[in-house]
Amino acid sequence: MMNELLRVEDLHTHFDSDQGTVHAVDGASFGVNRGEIVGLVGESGCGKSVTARSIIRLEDPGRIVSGRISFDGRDLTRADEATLRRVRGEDISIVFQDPHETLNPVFPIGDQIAESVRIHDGGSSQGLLDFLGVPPFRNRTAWNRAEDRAVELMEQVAIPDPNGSAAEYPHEFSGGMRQRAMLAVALASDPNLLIADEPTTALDTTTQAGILRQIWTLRDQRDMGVLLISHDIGVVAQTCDRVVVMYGGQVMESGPVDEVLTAPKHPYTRALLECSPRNLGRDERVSTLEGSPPDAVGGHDGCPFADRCRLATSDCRSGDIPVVESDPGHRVACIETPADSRGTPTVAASGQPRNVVAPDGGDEK
Amino acid sequence: MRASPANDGGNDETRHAPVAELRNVEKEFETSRSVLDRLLGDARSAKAVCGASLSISRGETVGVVGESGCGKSTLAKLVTGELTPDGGSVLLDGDSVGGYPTRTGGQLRRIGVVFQNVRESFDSRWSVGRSIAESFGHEQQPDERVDRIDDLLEQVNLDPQVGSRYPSELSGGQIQRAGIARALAHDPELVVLDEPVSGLDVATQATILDLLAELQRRHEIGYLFISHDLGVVRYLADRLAVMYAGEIVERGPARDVFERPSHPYTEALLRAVPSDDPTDPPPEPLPGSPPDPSNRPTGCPFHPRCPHADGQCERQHPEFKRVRTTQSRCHYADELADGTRTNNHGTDGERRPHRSDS
Repeated sequence: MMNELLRVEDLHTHFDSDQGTVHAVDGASFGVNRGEIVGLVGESGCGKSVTARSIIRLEDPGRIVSGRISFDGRDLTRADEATLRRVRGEDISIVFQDPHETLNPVFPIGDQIAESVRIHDGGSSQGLLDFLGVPPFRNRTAWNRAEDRAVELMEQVAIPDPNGSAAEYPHEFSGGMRQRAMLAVALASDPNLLIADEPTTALDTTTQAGILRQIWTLRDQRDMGVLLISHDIGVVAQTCDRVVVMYGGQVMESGPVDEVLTAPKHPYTRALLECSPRNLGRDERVSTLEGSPPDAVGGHDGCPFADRCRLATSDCRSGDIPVVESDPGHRVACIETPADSRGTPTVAASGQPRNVVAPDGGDEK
Repeated sequence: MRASPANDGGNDETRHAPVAELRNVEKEFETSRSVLDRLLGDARSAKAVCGASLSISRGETVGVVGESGCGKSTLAKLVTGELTPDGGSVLLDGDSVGGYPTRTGGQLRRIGVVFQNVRESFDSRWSVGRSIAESFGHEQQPDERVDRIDDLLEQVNLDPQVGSRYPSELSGGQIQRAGIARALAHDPELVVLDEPVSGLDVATQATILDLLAELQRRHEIGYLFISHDLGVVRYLADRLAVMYAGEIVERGPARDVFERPSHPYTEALLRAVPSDDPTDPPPEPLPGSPPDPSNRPTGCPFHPRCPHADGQCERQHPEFKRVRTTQSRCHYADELADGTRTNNHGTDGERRPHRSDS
């Protein structure tokens, strides 16, 4: 696809542990286009964060054993450290879950944003002594420019009174404001792709709504791609254009949110949606997923969800599971691809031919 | 499953006498502790809870919701006895009680607690079983203790083997279950649950909520359920109290509060919850932040953030008003519940900029 920004192809990231090799990401494929927000959902331990870390090549102590991560035409799995440093800083930014731990407590917020601006400021010479703040070596004009830019960025992420707040320390900020400051740090380099790993999990819902709205606005202003990782289905449903559902390190289902979250085709997606206590009628019981997520040691033979799936057959437990494209851009990795939960038959079930495509979770070709 | 007939009558009274009751409790914390400040009378105090009243009976779940810093956890600590109120009274079975030191052993055993950071509430050098056994009374024999630990772990659907493991070896869901088992160890009538499912993923959350509902049915325990996630509270709560800046601003049967909020703050909280259905309108943020507890605004504490506020709200602190089945601390509660009060600031109706795909 022309405006495809990021493409993850059959990614395998492994960790070595005392119990054996952990297949944390076990053949995940998906893509993110420019100007698109893609949600990555799944239970804890399903490989969401490891996937994100693999994309910016911070998977250590894990290792990418196979697969391809292409970003804007470059293969990041083969790039050298110098290229990666550039990509990480300038093209891909990441925002982590806990803003308490990612901001330095002993520097004012404005300085931390300015530092990030300055690091990505290619136009002026930079030296270690400059960054250490040694006065004769300090490039005053460049720093002043960076500080002005920091205030501008703070304004963009809707931090009230950016001039005053720039001099404040992280502990003087509320959780939501700290997360906004982190967004400003991430945006300092004008990234093409923003990875947000559970950006609102530690926040109140009232603040969360503000941060999510901020992410849309930034996407619209900068036409950047966003990979939003969350275990909260509501957050993904309300923010994303497309969703990738992961389980056991593999992509179970992917497609436009309107389709995947309203008419899920994969039994796992359906089970996950049924778990959510929201939108439940009175006295309806929340349904629970039996069993626990699979042990990723040694990887899986067949579908990782087979042990917890109500529809599993012996075919599910061995061999490769074909990925079926039921509607354009809506892909399901399931042998059954049964009728959806609303009782209406799926396109595939109503007799239209299914196209079996390569294991892939991206948009239409 | 958990509906008590009294709730349907739209009455705050339930079939049991309350196990615990808070009457106009106040709690302040000193923000500035220096001796000089005290001598000069400059010591400022932050009001964490102001005049909150609440009761919890057996077999019912009372949900307390609000943003962080609104005093939810302080309220819970006043019930459990971790804190002593500065004003008002805490009643246990009708007897006025203070903090831990003043409570009798029997009174202490009436209440179980599941703490907010469950993993940190377990001693990392003790096995889970030993931590659970610490809650037992002294009358139990050592061999009975082992059986009792196994029994408790089974009640929360954990393998009895978990008792010999250490907190760091358990997953988020398992440690939460162990925390619940420990809270049940002394057969409490009331369990205080402080954010019991926050930080857990949807699937684990569902199993914990299901377990809590099941335990309540079996033992007829009352729950004081504290959470900032309205979706979770909606599932479990029979009655709801909405807190803002240390005050309870709305209370009533949970279903009615959710369906027809009569306080603008409740309305804002509900609008901020992202719906699982992508076709629903997007969540709306509540601009601004809660007031500084040591410098509370005059009148209604919510007026600086309220889209409906006018001069009266700035001057006069609203008292509870009865609106159908709920009670609300808002001058315009009736109009809000009917939907006839219009928004002064016109911030409503802002929609998501655009969705790029079609």
